[in-house]
Amino acid sequence: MGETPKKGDAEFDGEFYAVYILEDFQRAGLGHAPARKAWRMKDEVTTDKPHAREEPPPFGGSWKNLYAAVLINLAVLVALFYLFTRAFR
Amino acid sequence: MRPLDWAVLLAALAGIVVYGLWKGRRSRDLDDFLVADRRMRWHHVALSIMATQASAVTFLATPGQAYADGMRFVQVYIGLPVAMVVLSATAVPVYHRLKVYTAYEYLEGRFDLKTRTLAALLFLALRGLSTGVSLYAPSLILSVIMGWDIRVVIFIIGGAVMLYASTGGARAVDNTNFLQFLIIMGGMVVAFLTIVRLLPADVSFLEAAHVAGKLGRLNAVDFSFDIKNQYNFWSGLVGGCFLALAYFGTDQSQVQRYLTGESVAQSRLGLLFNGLVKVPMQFFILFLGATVFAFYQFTQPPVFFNPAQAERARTGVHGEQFRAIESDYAAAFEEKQRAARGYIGALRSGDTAAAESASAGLKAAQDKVNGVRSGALEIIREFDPKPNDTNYVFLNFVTHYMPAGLVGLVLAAVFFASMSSTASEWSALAATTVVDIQRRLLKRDAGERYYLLSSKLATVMWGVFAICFAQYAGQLGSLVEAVNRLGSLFYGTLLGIFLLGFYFKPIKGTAAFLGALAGEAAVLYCFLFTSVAFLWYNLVGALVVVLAAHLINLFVVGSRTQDAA
Repeated sequence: MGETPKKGDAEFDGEFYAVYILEDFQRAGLGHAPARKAWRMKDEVTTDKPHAREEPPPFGGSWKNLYAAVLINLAVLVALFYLFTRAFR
Repeated sequence: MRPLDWAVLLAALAGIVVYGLWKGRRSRDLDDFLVADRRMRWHHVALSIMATQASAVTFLATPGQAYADGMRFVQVYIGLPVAMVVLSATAVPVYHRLKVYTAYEYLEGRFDLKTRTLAALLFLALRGLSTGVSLYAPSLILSVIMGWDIRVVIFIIGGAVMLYASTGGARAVDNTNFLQFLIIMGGMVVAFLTIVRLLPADVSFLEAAHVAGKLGRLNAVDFSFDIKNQYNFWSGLVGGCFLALAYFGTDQSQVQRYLTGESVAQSRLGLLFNGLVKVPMQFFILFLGATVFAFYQFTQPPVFFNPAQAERARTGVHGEQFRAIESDYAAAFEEKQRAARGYIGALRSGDTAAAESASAGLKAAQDKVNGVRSGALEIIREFDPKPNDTNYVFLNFVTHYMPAGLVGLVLAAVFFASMSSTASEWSALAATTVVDIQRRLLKRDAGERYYLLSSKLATVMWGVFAICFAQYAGQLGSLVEAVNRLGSLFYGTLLGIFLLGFYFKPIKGTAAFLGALAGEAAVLYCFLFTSVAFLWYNLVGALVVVLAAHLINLFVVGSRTQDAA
């Protein structure tokens, strides 16, 4: 197997690295199953994409729902502050 | 202070130190000491984040701010929830995946060593100086109100924090922050309920609130746009969002808190919880101050809330004049109290015209009180050029009107607020000193035990530095104010560097480094030559860093690359 670039190496770069892994597996005759596993793991191993392999929140369904809840809460608070200011002005 | 208050205060202080030592007893490696072995659940992360942000000055100055200026200060926090969402979606997964100890480690992987070192040194300089001030400021207020020696107060807070932060590291800090924050909020709720109970029997809470509102103390939101005014909705939403992005995304004292989360999800939930409750919490603390204002519409306040300065004025060369002003102030207060009761009577009658007329009378009475007070301020100005007693309003109320036991509880809450933010700062300073400077630049591969011991020693070193700085901060005069403003002068630049890292892949190290210098120059220009409100500095700094880095990348670095090819 050829030298695989590691994080910090000049040629290391996200999906490019995943291709290296695939080629290494194929050259070593390990077939497509580990290659597919490597492909699935590429985001975890190599990229800094924030949404790669998202862990779901323990409640709320999805992170998007929780983000929306925080922003809706803010909008409701601002509306309440406005009403509060008007009521006591 | 009555014996019961002393008992509550001393028990609380001793209890928290023992709790911190116990919780941090298992810190045996660097992972444990710097990031609590990344095992914290989201509720610990959340309250530790909130306790770090809310220093003692938050709980002393914020009610005073509402007393003097109303509740518009809450708008500074309006951009914070947006920043929490942005950081949860972007920064948290990156930091977690890279398993960094400090935010600045990320910058070397993304850019280069010089950018990492620049950011780490900026943090050490800013936070190192401000940790002394954040120890000094509440100690000064506590010492004046309680009549204690300020050096003793600084030593109590600093010594207690040093005991558990230097032995237990982040685990001790996060656990004590969690408990301290619960007690702080408990203390504030008790104080609020006490104020409400102390209102005159013939005046309802809602009526007292109407009086405070009519005198401009319940002005929570203002949609008018003015770039010179930092307390409006727009500067809070945009400037406040960038400030929160910089503080929570690039300041190690906050990044370290969510790095202790056991997973991306736990850290995210901690930040999002902060986004949900921070704004209402600040509203509540400001409302507490507005309620103190309402209370003092029916009970005469002192003409100046700082008792030491009032006494100095009373016994000084203009003492007789000051005492005469105090008598005039009492008479003006009586007149205002009658006007307030007249306004409440008009409200009860439902007569709109009478209410309008009574409202005008109330405002005129308030103006008269302010006029008399300005005479007292003139006398105080002779030995203090900027007389300001807002920081003393809340504690003055607590010590004069709260029942035995509860005074001790509220004082413990103030001590805890100071301890929690100080502990987080020292822990973060130690982490950055060891990880970004010592281990990276001075002594590489020295072994786990060596760096663990170094981290403990670095915590002690920063603690000793902060205590010494705080002891002499009183003699530094306007430098203290300058240090307080220093953060807002550099946060925008730090944020710009991290924004380049997270969102602009083509930008490399040199362009980021030079862009940071350009951004800092822009912020300093705004500070020195314009009257732009400080919240906007964060936006200006971050935008100039991003734009300048792009231009440098396009015209300088890009052309060099072409030449090389």
